[in-house]
Amino acid sequence: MKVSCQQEQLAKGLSIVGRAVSTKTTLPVLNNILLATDKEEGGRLKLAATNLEISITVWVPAQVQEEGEITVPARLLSEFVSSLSSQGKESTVQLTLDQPTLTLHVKGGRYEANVKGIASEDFPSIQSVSNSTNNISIEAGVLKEAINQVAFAASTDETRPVLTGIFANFSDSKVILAAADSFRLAVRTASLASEVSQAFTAILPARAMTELARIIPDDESMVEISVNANKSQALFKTDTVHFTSSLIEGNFPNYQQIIPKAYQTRAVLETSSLNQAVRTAGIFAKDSGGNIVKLSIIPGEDVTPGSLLLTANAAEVGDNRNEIDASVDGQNAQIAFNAKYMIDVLNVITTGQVALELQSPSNPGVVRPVGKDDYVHVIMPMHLAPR
Amino acid sequence: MGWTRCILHIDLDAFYASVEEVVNPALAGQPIIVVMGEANTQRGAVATASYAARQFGVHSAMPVGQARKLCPQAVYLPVRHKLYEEFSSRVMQLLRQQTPNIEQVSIDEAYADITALQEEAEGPEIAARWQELVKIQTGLSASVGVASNKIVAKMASGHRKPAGLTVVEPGFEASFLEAMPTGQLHGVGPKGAARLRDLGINTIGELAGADLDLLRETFGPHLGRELQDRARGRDNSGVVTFRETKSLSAERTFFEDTYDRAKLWREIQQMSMELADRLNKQELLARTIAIKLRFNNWRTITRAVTLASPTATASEISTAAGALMRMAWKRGTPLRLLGVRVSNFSETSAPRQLLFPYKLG
Repeated sequence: MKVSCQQEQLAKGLSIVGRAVSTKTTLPVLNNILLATDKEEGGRLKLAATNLEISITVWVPAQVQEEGEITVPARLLSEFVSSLSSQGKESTVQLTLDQPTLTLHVKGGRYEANVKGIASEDFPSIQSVSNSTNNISIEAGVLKEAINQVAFAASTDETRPVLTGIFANFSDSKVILAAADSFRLAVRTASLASEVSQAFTAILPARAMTELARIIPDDESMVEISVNANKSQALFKTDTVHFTSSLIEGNFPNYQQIIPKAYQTRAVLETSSLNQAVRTAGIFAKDSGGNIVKLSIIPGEDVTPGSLLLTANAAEVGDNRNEIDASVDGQNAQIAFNAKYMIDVLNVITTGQVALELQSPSNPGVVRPVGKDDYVHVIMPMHLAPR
Repeated sequence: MGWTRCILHIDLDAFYASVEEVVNPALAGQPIIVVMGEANTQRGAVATASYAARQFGVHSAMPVGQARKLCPQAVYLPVRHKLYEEFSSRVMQLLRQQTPNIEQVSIDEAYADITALQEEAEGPEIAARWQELVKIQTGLSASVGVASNKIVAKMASGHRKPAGLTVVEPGFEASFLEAMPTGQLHGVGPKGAARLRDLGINTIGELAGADLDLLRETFGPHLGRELQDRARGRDNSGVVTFRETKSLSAERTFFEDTYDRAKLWREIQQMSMELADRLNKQELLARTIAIKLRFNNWRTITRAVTLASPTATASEISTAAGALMRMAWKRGTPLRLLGVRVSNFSETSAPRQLLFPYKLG
């Protein structure tokens, strides 16, 4: 193998596939990245890595002088190639494999290194998702945002694998993504760029989807999604990246029953003001044991606007009260939430205003973006013992 | 003039068997053997043998089959835990009425710090009085050790049984222990005794006089020092009257290795109920649920999960334990022991995260 490519492009490719490299594995080859030449499109270098749950393949433009393939330690190669940026912005990296010793010679400017590899035959073959019945297209930016709006609500409790996933329901020209643990639920509806011929569902591991969201661009380019026939794997394709993830087996619970159908009090607030006020209360809540922020919604009268009062107590140290304007529909309301859960959802609300809908101090609260009906978030409150 | 410190160790004699004798006086004086597991079969092990039964060579942990050969005429009874707990708490209550400085160490053992009571009477006299009190009020006999610290008091109570009263005067701790084999020293098990034997140390007196560097090299710097201190009858540890509960656990040892899934699940449910009951009594909620499995090759593993929200509900404990079980136990693998433990407590009155009212997943 003898190939050369641009330092910047190679470094970027390595950092993307690096996300799929196993950190804890007993199989040494899984610490490696597969490098293989590819004559298509005027010559490319294929980079691939897998941790058996997700696999990432990236193609980097390259000049192929001699074909070949090898696997080399991911971290070592990646860090060395990054360091080659010191050799000038437009610098080229040459990769030459010494087949008998399985050693890859890497040269950039006046820096060079030899990296010992493992034969590519030992690398697990990355299954391509074949005979998939569905091919779906979605804008990368939309998918990225949708994943970020739901993934954080998924459970990390491995004893209930289904809840560690994002439930995806594809039908017509939309996909509904939902994730929940025992105390919060996030649901996002997103438009697809194409119609789904036959509606279907899948449970995607939330951790894998978070990785996917990290590597796809935030623009209008397309991501193609396909799921294999026995629903064990999903493939996400962009122009330069193939991302495969195993799917979670099982039935996702009926989350719709959790979303309250009505409210007693609805407050519309400036998203940024609420975010700031909760964060400030959070400084005190951290030391309260339970991270509790108490909310009190007060409707306005004739000329005075309504307000939301947030309070937090740090046991024996101090307390904090923050008030912000609110446009309130309904009666007075009190409730307490874990500050972190509020901050998590406020971080992913993209509209300027947000609505908070409440029933009672022990019923779930609902957070919605104002002016967009594609997202809903439900949080269970904290129970405070009566004093 | 009293002692600078005066500690009692009170140890109830042949406790389970004695309780059985108290509740059924017709058994008095007969050999009684209380059996863990199944009393009527060859399986099971001796939990406690009365002194009358011990004369035939029966001792605790002996397989029942062997006990039956040695003492076929004995009365064999199954363990009745609730009953023993009741008697135990009566004894402890009685002791706490005498002084709040009581540390209960097991169902039938307690330490008492009576340093402050010496104004009224001397330590040995108090010990004799309490022994009498326990006998009259509960019908149970106790052996008591009196010494200037916990280690020596414990060794003293074991010195003469049953109904013994052993006093080790201050300054005589080391000479009291001197002739005893090292295996009898609190904290030295059979393995420790064997290692000491390899060093040529057979008695506690030899341990007290041994080269400290040698002990430190063999047992580590900390334990080496501590072993020698104990052997010299020195111990500064106090009587701990209140111990914060850090975890609660329930265990089942199977006398025949079990791989019956339904039975294991029943046990998990029952243990979860016991734990929920104890949590409720102490007004605690637990967030971490763990299981312990011992396989028939004695390999022991534990697996734990931390819940989203603390609980004191049997069904939530058993659901978590069941899920851990599914991950850790391969069907058909025989188990010798199964346990459930709850920890990571908060008080019932502490704020807690509410869960969705519907069962998810």
